[in-house]
Amino acid sequence: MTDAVLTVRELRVRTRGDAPLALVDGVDIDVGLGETVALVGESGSGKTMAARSVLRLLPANVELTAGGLSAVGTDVLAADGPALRGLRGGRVGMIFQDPMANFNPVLPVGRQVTEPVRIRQRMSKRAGDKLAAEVLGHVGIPDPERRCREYPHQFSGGMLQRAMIAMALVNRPSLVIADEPTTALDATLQVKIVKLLRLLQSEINAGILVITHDLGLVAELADRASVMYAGRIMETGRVGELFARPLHPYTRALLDSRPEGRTGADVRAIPGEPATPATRPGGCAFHPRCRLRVERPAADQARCVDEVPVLRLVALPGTTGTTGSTPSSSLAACHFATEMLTVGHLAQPRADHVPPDPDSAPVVTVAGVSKRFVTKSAWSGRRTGVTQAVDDVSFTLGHGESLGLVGESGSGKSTLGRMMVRLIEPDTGGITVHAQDASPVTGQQFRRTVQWVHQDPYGSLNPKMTIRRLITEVLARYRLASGSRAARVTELLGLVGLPPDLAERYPHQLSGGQRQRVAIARALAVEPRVLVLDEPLSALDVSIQAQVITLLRRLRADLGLSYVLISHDLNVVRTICDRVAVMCEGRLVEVGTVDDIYDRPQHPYTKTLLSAMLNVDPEDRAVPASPVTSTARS
Amino acid sequence: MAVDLTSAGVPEPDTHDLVRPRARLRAGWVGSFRASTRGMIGLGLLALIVLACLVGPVLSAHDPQVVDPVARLAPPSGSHWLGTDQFGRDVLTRMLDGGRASLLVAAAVTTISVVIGAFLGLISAMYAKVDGPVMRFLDALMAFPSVLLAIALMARLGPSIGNVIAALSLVAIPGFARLVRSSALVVKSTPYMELARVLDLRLPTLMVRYLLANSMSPLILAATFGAASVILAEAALSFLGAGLPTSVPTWGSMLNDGQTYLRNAWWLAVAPGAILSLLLLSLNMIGDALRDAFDPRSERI
Repeated sequence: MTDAVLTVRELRVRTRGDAPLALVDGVDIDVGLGETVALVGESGSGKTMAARSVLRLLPANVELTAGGLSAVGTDVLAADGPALRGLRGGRVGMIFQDPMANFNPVLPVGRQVTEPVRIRQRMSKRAGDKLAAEVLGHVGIPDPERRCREYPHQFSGGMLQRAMIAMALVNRPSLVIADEPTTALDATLQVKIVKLLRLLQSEINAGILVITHDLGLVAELADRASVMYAGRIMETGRVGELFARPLHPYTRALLDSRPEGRTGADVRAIPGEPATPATRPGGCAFHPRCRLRVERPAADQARCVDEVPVLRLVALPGTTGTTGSTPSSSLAACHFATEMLTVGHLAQPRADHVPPDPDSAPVVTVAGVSKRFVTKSAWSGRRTGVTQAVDDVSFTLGHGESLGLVGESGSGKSTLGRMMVRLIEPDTGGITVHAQDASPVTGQQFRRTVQWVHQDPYGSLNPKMTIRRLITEVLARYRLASGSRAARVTELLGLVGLPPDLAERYPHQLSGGQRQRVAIARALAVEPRVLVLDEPLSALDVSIQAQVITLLRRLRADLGLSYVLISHDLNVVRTICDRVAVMCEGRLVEVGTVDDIYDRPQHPYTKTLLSAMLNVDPEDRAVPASPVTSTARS
Repeated sequence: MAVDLTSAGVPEPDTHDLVRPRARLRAGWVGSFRASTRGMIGLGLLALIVLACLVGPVLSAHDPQVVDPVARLAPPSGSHWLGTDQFGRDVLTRMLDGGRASLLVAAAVTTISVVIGAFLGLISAMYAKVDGPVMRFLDALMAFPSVLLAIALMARLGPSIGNVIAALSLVAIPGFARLVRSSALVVKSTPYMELARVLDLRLPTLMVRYLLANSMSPLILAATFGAASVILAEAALSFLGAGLPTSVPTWGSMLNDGQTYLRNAWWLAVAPGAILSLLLLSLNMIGDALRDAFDPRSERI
């Protein structure tokens, strides 16, 4: 490849010390000019470490070795301070995940965006301001002359991410590294950012290395992708082939575990937790979770455990050597990759969930609920603004029904959820929860009827208490299972698929998925009839999301629960819910069954949300490839 | 050979066999503290100092109060290990004897001010209605220079060890209250506090196991430093004649006496200064170990 802007060979990143952990274990990356390459993986896969190695932006306690590492013609391994500074922010731009955390809050956005230019060449203040307005306008920020003088807190998340992209591209770099560029954003904003990245790439013809856990983003944005697991590349190839014909069981499992809202196909969870550098098993790192392996004869299974598979070109059956009719460009690190070609695609219909009788008695009635927040000046106490968070919302939740509450951030869906669990009181209107005999539930009984699962599994458990105490305190509060609380804790943990010995651990010793299960177990301890789930999957890895989806569906069937699922991810909503309520600026704009909303949306806002849904079919992109990029590559 | 993965029966995601048993289960914060070398050294040092102060004066050949004009300002020697002061009194005996009052005042003031301060901080964080009045009252207390306030109180109450403890506690309370309030306010906005409200946990649980337990680290650190500054504050009071009766030796009053003779009798100031430093060192080591013991996250795996 003559126009390569990034060539990485045999990259290894290890922790220093007596027992080094291999965070990245022999990774090759190639990015050409004008090309977009994705590094995909779950948490602990080493994808971020690998990408940061390109600019040697690594923590002090790790060491980097590589057979070769060259970015935009510079040997990064041999580069000294000035040469590295020339790369960082100069010929290589970086886009980070959390724009709020990556802007200095006390400097105007415009000044920060042009800083990569200003530190390299003398520039008058006037010229700097002019450039700032120009680049901010270029990334689609309205009224850039005014906004470039504003501070980061005055920008919305999406606008700040645009500004970050402007900052990364202001020196017209040849290589851009984008670390989870859309993760912190709403679905509709994600599409806009993808569109912007594609447009700008076609202008400056840079190579992009995008790091993400989101297969939808890969399908939407990337030309080629490498799937990482536990520090190694499992499979690499062109995105179209990768998704249409995965050659590694892990790639296939990831695709299968991703909820697919467009088709409504069912999810299939990968058992277990993703391996981390500390827990990586010998042989093929994926073997304990591999479905392909369990189908193999014992000798083959032993090979998966003993021998590390090398990343190799997979010879397709029916073709001999390289003269075959369907040459594969994919490389896979699996001993039995050829077997994957004969595996049928998983297109399971929706699980056997029977939607509840639409005329069943409602458990929750929400009638004309409104809530406004008044912001006051801390200085004078005067009103500075009024936000109508929820505006005259009414709906009912039937017994055994699952209702999805969807909308962008700021649409009021979380406020509505908080009112349903009585964390805040509505200004007008009322939320009535009904007991089995349809009488309204009050007082302590309310807490035993409606429970809440928070979106942040890392923050929702008191870090000072063991799992046993966290669950026991709930049982004690309601005088439940007195005398057999230990048994009840074990039972509740079993209900959410956790082993009993986990009870003695502290929250920080658990993974995100395990914590979310504990949070669900705690909510179930009071034997509620309704669970309000506030973005329960958004902080979890793809394979863990599918596990929790499966769990939520099983609990609903076993315990007769009703769910209110608050989510901005329409793919997730479709896999769980019976009905969907779409919220926009505090109002309910459309309510309907899942099939109606997804297949026959009525309201234009619903249509916008649906069109922003990223799916894993690279042939069907929400943002069509612009003609400039496609000709440049062909 | 075709494998149909769609029918491969992996029924339910099973995390059981992938969960590794933790090597060591914690035995509460006491066990965690005892496992800390630093904490145990600090505790040993503190015990040594306390023991010396309790037993030392009894075993000593000298009386802390007996004046010996002949042996005035004698340097350290075989009969006076740490020399004598300007009245010929044995410095070592006085230092150990004075430690009783200093340690008692420091322990009592720290305990009282931490308990009352933490309580005020917790209820201020918990109830917005209490917050304003309590905090404004404490602000008013803080507005006075602390020594001035203590002197004013002592002038009103008269010199006695109980009054010194009362005056210094009152001065120290606002700092602890503010500290606990600010950490408790942070804890109050966490998701687990919101969940506790949805679960309708009882008020004492919320206050102690949630707000207080998660505000412990800064409080412990502040308390260890606070104990040290109490000894110095007591010294300042004694120096100004508003502290303990002059007949009672304390480390603070010895330090103050010693600085007059620093040029020709350095041991007068160095002896109480050294033991005070040792005490601070032991308190800081204990404080660090306690903070780690209360935080399960700091456990080494």
